[in-house]
Amino acid sequence: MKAARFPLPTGRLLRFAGAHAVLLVGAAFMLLPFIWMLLTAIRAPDEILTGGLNPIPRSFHAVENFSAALQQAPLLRFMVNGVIICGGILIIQLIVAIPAAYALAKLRFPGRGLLFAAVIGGLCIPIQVPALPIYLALAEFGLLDSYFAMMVPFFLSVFAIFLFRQTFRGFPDEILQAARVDGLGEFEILWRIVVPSALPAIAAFSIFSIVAHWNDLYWPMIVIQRMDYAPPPLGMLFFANSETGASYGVLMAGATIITAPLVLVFLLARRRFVQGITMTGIK
Amino acid sequence: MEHSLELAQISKAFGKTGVLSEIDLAVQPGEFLSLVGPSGCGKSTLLRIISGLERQDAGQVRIAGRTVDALSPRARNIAMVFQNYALYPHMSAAENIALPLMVDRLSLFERLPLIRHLSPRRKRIEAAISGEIGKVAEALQIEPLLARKPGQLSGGQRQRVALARAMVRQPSLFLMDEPLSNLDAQLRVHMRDELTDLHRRLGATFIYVTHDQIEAMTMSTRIAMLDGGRLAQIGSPADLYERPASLTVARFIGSPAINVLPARLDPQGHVILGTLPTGLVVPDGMAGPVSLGLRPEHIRLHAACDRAMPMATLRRSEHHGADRLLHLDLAEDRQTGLIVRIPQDETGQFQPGETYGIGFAPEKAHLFDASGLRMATRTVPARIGAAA
Amino acid sequence: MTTLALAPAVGRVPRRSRPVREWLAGTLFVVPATMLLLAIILAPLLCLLILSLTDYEIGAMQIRWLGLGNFEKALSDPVFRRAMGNTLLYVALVLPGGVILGLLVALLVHGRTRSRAFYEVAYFLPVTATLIAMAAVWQFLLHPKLGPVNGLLKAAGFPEMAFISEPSLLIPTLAVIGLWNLIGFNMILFLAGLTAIPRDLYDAAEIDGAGGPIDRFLTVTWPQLAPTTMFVAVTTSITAFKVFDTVAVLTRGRDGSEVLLYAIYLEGFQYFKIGYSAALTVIFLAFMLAFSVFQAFQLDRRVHY
Ligand SMILES: Nc1ncnc2c1ncn2[C@@H]1O[C@H](COP(=O)(O)OP(=O)(O)OP(=O)(O)O)[C@@H](O)[C@H]1O
Ligand SMILES: [Mg+2]
Repeated sequence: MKAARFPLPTGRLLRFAGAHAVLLVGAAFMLLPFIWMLLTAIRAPDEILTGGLNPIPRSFHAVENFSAALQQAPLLRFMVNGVIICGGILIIQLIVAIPAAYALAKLRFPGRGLLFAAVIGGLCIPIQVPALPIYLALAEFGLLDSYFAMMVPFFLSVFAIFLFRQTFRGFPDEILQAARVDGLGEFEILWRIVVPSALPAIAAFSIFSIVAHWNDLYWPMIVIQRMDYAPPPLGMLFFANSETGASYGVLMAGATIITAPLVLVFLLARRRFVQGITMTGIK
Repeated sequence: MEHSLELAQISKAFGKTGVLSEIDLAVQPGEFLSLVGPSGCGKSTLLRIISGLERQDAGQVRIAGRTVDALSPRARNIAMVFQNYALYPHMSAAENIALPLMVDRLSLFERLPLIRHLSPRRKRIEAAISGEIGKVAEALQIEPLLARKPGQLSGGQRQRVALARAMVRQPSLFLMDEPLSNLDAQLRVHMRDELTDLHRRLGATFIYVTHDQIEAMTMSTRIAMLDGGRLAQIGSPADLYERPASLTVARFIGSPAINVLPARLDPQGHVILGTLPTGLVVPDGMAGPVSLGLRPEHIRLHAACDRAMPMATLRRSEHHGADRLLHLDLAEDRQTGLIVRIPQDETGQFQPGETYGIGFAPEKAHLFDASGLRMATRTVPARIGAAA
Repeated sequence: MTTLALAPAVGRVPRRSRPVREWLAGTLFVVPATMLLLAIILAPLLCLLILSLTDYEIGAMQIRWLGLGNFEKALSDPVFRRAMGNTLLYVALVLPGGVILGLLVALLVHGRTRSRAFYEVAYFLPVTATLIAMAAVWQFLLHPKLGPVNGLLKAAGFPEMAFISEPSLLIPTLAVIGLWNLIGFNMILFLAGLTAIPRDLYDAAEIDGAGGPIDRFLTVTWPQLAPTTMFVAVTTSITAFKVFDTVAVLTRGRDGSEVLLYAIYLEGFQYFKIGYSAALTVIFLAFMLAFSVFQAFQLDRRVHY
């Protein structure tokens, strides 16, 4: 029996090609800075100054540029600071937000509506708004220039509360009731039953949080004067200002070092992250 | 007369897994054909191929005598009702019903937001359309619901709006994919009546997918059963019930399901159940194992213990209104359960825990070979048959 | 059998009844969040409002009550007015651009199968990148003499463009960088929204004759995406109002590139005019809230069905 196969219609073929054409142009635009950063980071200074369009470096200067970047500024120190700050913020955000979100989603208690309204309102208030008074308070207690100063405004993430509440709300009440009948306390229910089921959402939020605080410039710029505590972006700012156009290669090497960790994290966690966002049902 | 729908050698595979193979089917105008079969057997896929939502790998689809393989779903002049209704949630019921007509009669520009107000004839056409919606709504008794959005309708009401959207273009072929499966039991029975009624009034051809054999039995003029991607049998509900072409069909049609007892053929072609001849003979059959199918209502229980009958112990007896279902365990080495249907007024004679003899009329029995296909039989006088 | 049936009742007697337990647990669970909410949002907000009515400066001996003086001063201050105008222009470029391009990319990526992972990574990468480092890269890319962008322009026969020093090009340039940073995020949100659209609706549209790309988009995709679009629009406008990092690296708020946050930063944390900076912050907040609420209402009418 000979099968009558359908040819791929030309209309679909055209649409396929069109979509790829648009997407590839866009992707080139998105990736151009990364590519140029890498290429410049391995170029010799004289080659950079001639300003050629030639993408392939004529001489390989990576070792010089990267070691110069690491010597001229304590980049590794900045990154360690970044890890400490992001880790500290994330842990406390989760400890604070998860129980609150569970209570808002599944428990009845006085003031629940009010608290939820405050959370929604808080979503529209970025750090820049309470920055002044918090700064004054930290200065008053002599707490500026510390890890604590950099972390404290972010201990509460209303976004996390909102996100987790949305996720927990979908959790079936029957299971909670069964657990209560079995004699589990609310804390145990939360910790042993609800949280494990929400791990993808928690992972997605963690990426949000780490990306936001690894990259945050505004707040560190305000509370940090001493380089010892500077997180990567602030360090990068010091670094960029201390340099002149002549050593773009070194600057780009520095930018590569600071950008690399998050890019790697995303590449490794991409599928989980996209899943997590879909699961939380942000919309 | 021209067939309303004709499928010739339709095959379809998703990647490497074959779903449908060489399906042939011809449907007369005005028929109500049910497609049944176990879950995952390809019913929805076949329906989607007919509608044009999916392309077959091989074979042809003809609708009203016209080959439609190259046509879009819209050009095939069919309507489809989906399992979960697929109503557009942001449009009112009236707008949902109007959509197919709008697309039909207005150009793309006349449907675009803002730009559409430029068209001089749009108002007139829309008025005509809303007249037609009114008629369809009246036929389905949903006029009071027209302004509501799907979110404000109950399941049954949504179902009716979906039907109205299908009807409004007056297609000759209706495709329905388990349209009642999301309704509760009572509403399902009610909508079953309404659909049958609608089918009679419209005189259109219905292709109706269901995995509920009662729906198929009660509503259809014919039933096509798919199994493993092939057409296992097609025929009237009575055909499928009385002469199932295979063990799968026999098991699928009928509730409670048919009893299947392991039996064997002796070298003379006699069907032997346990050690006893059944009175069934396969003319030139090969010796070997076979399956004997007995509908629950075709088994007789005998209190008087005749040693030449298979024995079964009554485990439980269930009240089913006019009937009673008796659950028995076959005695001897077999673990096989057996279900027997008897009229309510005969129940007094049977007590749980007691053992009874099994009898049946051989002409009511169905015989299937080792591969599950129906075998032709004739009857000879024999003790089990005689006892019935 | 009997012990089983009795177990819950026996267990419950010595304990508190359920509503009280729930009440206690709920309250306990929200205590840390509530305290932090008070300490780092509500109390500072109140302080901010009070400060904005004073002339408080760090190091100043006394504080005077100004009433709305700071606000009057801000509205007549040419620098602040420029900052406001620039910020609004930036939002006006980034908000529609971010929503439309994010949606477009998501629609195109959603149809891909084998290449989807590549595009997801390519478009999302700028979101994870440290903007401050990438701003330095952009500065280099757009450098009049050394950068490849001008190199390309010149190769194509166009004149050299001073993207970062020419005032009229400055905000558009910042907006392009802002879009570059944000499109991937919007794309991921839209992709999540697209995944959630039931396939049945597209099938129904096809059967109804609305199977062409424009009809599909108008009857199914766009209405179904309305809630996502609202979320994306609000987050995008908040992000756009907060433009700061690129300004800090590329121009340091030089003439022509003043934006709200940079002005607030300079007044408050460089010149230590706390009262004035607080007033600017209040204006910033008011704008952002008004914008978000307006959009939420606009879209809300279409979202609810
Ligand atoms: N788009 C698809 N891609 C890959 N496999 C598919 C696709 N659609 C259906 N299948 C597979 O084809 C087979 C038949 O599916 P189909 O939906 O037609 O079954 P069905 O008979 O309608 O089942 P049900 O009664 O559960 O609705 C299934 O095994 C299914 O997994
Ligand atoms: Mg199906």
